[in-house]
Amino acid sequence: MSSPFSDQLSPRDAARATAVRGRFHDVVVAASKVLHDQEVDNRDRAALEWASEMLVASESKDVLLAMPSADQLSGPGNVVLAIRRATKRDGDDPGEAIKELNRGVADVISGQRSPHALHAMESLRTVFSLISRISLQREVVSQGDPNSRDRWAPWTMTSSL
Amino acid sequence: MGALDDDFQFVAASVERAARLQRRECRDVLDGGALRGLALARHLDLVYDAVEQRVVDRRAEYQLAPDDTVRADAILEMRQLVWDVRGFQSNLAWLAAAQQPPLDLGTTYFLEDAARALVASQVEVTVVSTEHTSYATSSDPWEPLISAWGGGIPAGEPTVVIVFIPRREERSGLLHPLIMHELGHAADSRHGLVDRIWQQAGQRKRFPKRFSAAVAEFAAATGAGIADANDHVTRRLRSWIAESLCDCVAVRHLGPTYLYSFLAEVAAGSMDEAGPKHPPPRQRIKLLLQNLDADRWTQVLTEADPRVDGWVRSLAAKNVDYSETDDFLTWAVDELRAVVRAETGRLLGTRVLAPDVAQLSEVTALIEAGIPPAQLRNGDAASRETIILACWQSALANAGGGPEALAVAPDAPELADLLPAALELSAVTAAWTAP
Repeated sequence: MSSPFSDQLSPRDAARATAVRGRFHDVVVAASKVLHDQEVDNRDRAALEWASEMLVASESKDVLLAMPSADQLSGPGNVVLAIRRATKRDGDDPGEAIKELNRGVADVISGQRSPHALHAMESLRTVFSLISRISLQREVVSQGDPNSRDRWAPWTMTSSL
Repeated sequence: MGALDDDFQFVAASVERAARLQRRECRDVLDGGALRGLALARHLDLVYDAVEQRVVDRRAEYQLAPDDTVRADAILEMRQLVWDVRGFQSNLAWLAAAQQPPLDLGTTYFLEDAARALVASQVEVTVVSTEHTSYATSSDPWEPLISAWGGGIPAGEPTVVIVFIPRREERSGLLHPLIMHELGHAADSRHGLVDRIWQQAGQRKRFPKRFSAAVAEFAAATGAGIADANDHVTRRLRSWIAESLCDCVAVRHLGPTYLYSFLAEVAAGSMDEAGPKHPPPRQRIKLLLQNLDADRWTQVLTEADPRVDGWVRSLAAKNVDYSETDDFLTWAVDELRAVVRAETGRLLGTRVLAPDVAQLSEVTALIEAGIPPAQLRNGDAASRETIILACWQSALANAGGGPEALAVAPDAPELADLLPAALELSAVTAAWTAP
């Protein structure tokens, strides 16, 4: 039968999404350390590299394709929305903004703290904070919606008949 | 201490409270002498361990936050975690279901025996009766979180399999064989069966070319990049292969029983709809029949109910055209049927059910007389697979045969007590006579 679950996350995916969401704050912390000229450690570098991957994934026209858990993490298109807000590029192609952010991340990873890299870090932490805020907003809204279904409910199984 | 600090401490304490509160029910199971659901409870307990450790870590990191942007974001993260942890409470119903299984004991024995054979010798199956419309499953549902935030699931822990059944079907013994399909998913999670099929698919002559064409077609139709299109087609095809595999596992393990159960549950609701994760039921029915014929069930099917047999074969014979990605997916699932069948054969080994007309006849006679067929004349326990098949055949006959009988047979009142009792007695007899 057609899966009624295609727009829902399985418990495994939801557990994975919880773990992934936990990395958003790591990105904010890592970017902030750079901005405050503090030393970044391997964990910070890993968080920044992960952020870079997330941004690349969000370049897709359909975020859900590139990142199946995106809906749970932030909502389709919300990564792009956050980037637009953070970079004040409403109406622009967010692809360019993403490339700039990624260049900034690459600079920081390679030890450079140019004004360009610092600007990217400022944007990056705004973006990931915004994604968290949007994610929380969606959670609160869905909890108040009588038609909303608990994402942990059994109709969200990965594997159905 | 500033306002942000108070906010953070307040929300962090709320996360800890939710975790502590919900953990109590796990501990009740773990410390209360329960015999079922222990692995499930341990997994949940590990989740709460991980969450609590996360809060401890975040509290420490908060003290080092370089500015208010980081502090505000830490609060945001904690608030999200409040929702996530509170969300875990739905799983407490799973613990309750483990303590009071919704299925009869005979079916429970049957499923646990199959799970040990197909999934792992150390496996814990919990069946949960839900309001969802159909059957579903999940294996080690919290493993990603336990691994990401905690130390992972300790070696030697049983695989936790949660099977969901529709509440309305709790006593429909003739549909419970559908759970074998769900155990197929658990076996795949455990043994990487789809991965192996996927590898073999890539080595086939026509597959790579058709796959690339489908990806290019999807990219052109949707404007997605090639990488995203590849990901999309791969994801869908792997899901379809998984469904095909699980059908194959179930039908080769159960024979015609699975076809009957599948028709009653799935074919009633849809026939030609290609799902995101599921092939069209018509294609699945065709593949089920091919496997049954290859396993020499043709005559049994025909003799059991010629009208049902003719109807099913006419359903399977109809060709339906699909477009774009669905066209490729239906082709690919057909193309890979031999690979799926071989992989299933390796998984099942001697558990592939072969027709045993003599035993089926003996069991059927007892069923029709209302006697639970615990033991055969030769002293062996009656095979549980044969018992269920005999019950299906009997229910079809009692309901007058044909497709309509198929729809009403699953909860045949004459089998409501007989089938569970037969399965239970057979399991006991098998255990009693085991060397």
